[in-house]
Amino acid sequence: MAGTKREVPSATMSSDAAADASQWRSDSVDVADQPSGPGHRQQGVVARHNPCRIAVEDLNFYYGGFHALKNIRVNIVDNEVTAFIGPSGCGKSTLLRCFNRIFELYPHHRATGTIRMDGANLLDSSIDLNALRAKIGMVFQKPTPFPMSIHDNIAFGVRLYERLGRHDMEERVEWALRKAALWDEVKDKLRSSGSSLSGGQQQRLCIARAVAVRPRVLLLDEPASALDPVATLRIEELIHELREDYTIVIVTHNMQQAARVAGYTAFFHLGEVVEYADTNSLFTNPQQKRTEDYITGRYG
Amino acid sequence: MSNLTANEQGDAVVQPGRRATGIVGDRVFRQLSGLCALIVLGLIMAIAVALVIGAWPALRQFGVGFVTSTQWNPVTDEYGALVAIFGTLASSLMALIIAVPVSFGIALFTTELAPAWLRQPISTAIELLAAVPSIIYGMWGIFVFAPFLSTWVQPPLSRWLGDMALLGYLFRGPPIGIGIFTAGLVLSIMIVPFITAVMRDTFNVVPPLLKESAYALGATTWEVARSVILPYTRVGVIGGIMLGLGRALGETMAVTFVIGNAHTIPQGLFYPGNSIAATLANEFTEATGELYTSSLIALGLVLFLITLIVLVLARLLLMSLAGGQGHSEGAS
Amino acid sequence: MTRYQKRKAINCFNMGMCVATTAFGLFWLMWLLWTLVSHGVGHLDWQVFTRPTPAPGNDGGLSNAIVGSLLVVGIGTLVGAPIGVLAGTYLAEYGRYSRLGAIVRFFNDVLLSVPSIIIGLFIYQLMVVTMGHFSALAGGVALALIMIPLVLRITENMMRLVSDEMREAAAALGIPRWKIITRIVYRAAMSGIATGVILGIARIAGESAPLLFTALNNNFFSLDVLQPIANLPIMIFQFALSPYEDWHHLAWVGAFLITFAILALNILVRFGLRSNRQEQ
Repeated sequence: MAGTKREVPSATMSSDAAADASQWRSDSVDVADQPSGPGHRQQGVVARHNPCRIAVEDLNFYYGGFHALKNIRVNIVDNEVTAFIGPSGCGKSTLLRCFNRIFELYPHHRATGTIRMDGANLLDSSIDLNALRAKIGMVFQKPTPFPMSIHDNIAFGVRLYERLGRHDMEERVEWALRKAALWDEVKDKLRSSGSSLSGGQQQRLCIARAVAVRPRVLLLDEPASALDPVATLRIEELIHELREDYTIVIVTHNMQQAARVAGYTAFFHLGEVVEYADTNSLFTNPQQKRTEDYITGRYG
Repeated sequence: MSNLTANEQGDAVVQPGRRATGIVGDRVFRQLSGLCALIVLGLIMAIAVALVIGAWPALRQFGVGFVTSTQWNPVTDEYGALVAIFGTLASSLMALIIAVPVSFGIALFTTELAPAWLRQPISTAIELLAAVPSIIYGMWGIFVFAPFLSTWVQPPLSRWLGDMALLGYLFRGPPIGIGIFTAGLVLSIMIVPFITAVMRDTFNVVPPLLKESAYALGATTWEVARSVILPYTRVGVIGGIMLGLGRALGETMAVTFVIGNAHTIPQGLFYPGNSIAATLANEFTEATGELYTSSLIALGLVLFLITLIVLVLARLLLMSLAGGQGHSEGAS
Repeated sequence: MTRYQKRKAINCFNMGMCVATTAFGLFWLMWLLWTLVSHGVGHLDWQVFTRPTPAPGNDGGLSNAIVGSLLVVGIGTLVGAPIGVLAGTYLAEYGRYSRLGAIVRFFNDVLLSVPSIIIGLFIYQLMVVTMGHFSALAGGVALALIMIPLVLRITENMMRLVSDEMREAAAALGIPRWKIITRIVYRAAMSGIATGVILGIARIAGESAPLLFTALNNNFFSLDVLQPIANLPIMIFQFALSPYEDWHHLAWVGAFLITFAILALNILVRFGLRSNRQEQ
């Protein structure tokens, strides 16, 4: 799957590339038949020839008897920001929760299909969940600082996987906090409780905590929805910087946010990926009626 | 610090079959905690089995007659549980009749009436009643409360009410201060904090909007309590009452001190009687002979079954109420 | 009288009854405490803590009963608290949605409602009969059985108050489940679980019924957990029902000590919990 080299799900590909591109879109989108459109004009966004990092094939997800995701096919591009948008209940968070199998904390949540990363099927029962989750970091809607100091919040996860000396650990903590653009605000109070920070700071602490174990992929589940506009802006800037080093998938209900931070965007509706394209094409030239209705606010 | 960037780390990709992290610790901890949960399960079974085994000789000897006979005579080795069952039920019932309205009043006072600064201290004080050990209630009951009752309360009560046709039964007997009446009173004080705590907690979860809507219609505090709070919380209120009843049925030491330890069906509430728990406390360590000991254990079995029945009935009642009504969440 | 006046009158009367019932409840507490202070403090001196229980007519104290009570309650806590906390952990974490969890939860409620004298009877058959004699150990185990369901319930409730987001966030870092529980959930629920254990201790410290058939009593100083042991509740029971005046005095002193120790624990826990809540 790493051979997916074409960056833009453009409609002007050769038939060969178009077949390839069908992986970018859900099956419901008939890419090959689309006439040439303005979608290809945004090549600059994705001109870095990034390979595919995560390939989702035929993914179905069930909450007990409820079929929440239907035959999902999505490829997540390496070192890019991919946004999942859609109305609430459309399954975008559910897909995110499949990548690190966090749904398995609950009974009767069940996923079938394949999610391929580094040659392994993440849904395979032989996968070591904890090792998987160390490779795929996640930040949640609400900040969740652990009931310990700022320093320990970050060191806790690191200690599980690496035996670092005192000095190295201090360095790692500082590095993670700098990555999350929080260092300058907390460097003098690393020993105080994580819950003493403001909401925006707590969320950046959670990002630092996720980054500290050096994952490849960062999953962000509406990371700014509980924050005020200023804190939201900081998080968005941060995502922009983190894109350099990580493959990021962000779920957001805020379309402007998706447009601001993401290189690719997938629109979800009723458990299906309706459309998946680079962000500019999706917002400026949606191929699907449902996508258009949603981004122009006519949905519902 | 550049060596720390994410992309430069070793390519330890996620592979099937890689040494699983934390699996062993997880399994050990899960099984350990599961074992402890099973201990709880096993304990109840073990208690039931132990009681049945211990009670078997007596049950074989007396059969059903054990619970219908009023004989309790170590000399002739004849044992029947009816007196003790009667005493247990009568004292618990009396405790409930007194404690429920009192608890309701206190709960209403601490949630609706009292100024905010007074609520917590009063609640705490009432809860402390539950913290006082039952043997203290017993001592206080026999040395302080019983003389008080026999001097100031029982004589006038039996003089004024003792001759009435049916109600008179409640107030008949020697004014000696110990007996079913005193046991019921002491029990009622002991279970008030339990019922109050449950009622207060459920009253506290009535949505303010609901109460405000009723007040906005011009309802008085009492009308809000009766028509809004009580219907909304009735599942919880019943749960609290059942909790109190369970407490009263099994209460031992306080009752042992004040019930009088007489193995006869009392002719009135002022007469001394006996309860299952008090009989056990008084006689078990001194019991000689297999049948005597076994009969006492059989008494324990009866008490166990009574509390179990109360608990199960309460559950069924709560379930049917909760099923019929949409707002059971405020109650458990 | 108009309808409105009637409604107002009913309201006034019932609200008055609420105040009266509250006063009624507080009245008993005051009366109890006053009784303990007036009967107990007068005979409280150092000898109470330094000398063992006397024969009738002799001088003595309660040292053996106090130490014995501490020992038995200690055994009860050491046995009961870990089992209660771990079982509560199972219900809150692993068995939350499972059938087994629901069954254990119900049986725990049953255990909670089993009269303490039945627990004593059970341990008598289980340990006293098999060992052949009464012992402090049997008393401690009986108290543990009373503590387990209390601690279990509070632990489960407190751990459930820890948000699932916290568990998800920890799991998303790749932290193994048991470390999530022991290092994060326990820490978040710490004050609540500690409260449960302390309330459990306060509860079993005053229990006498389960000790009657298990630890029994001992008029001499003893630390042997395999022998009968003196303890305050049973001492109070025997001395209070004895015909000797000086034993009555000691019983009152014991009653005073045990009650105020338990009340102090309860009040401490409440203050501790409140200040803890304000911090968060």
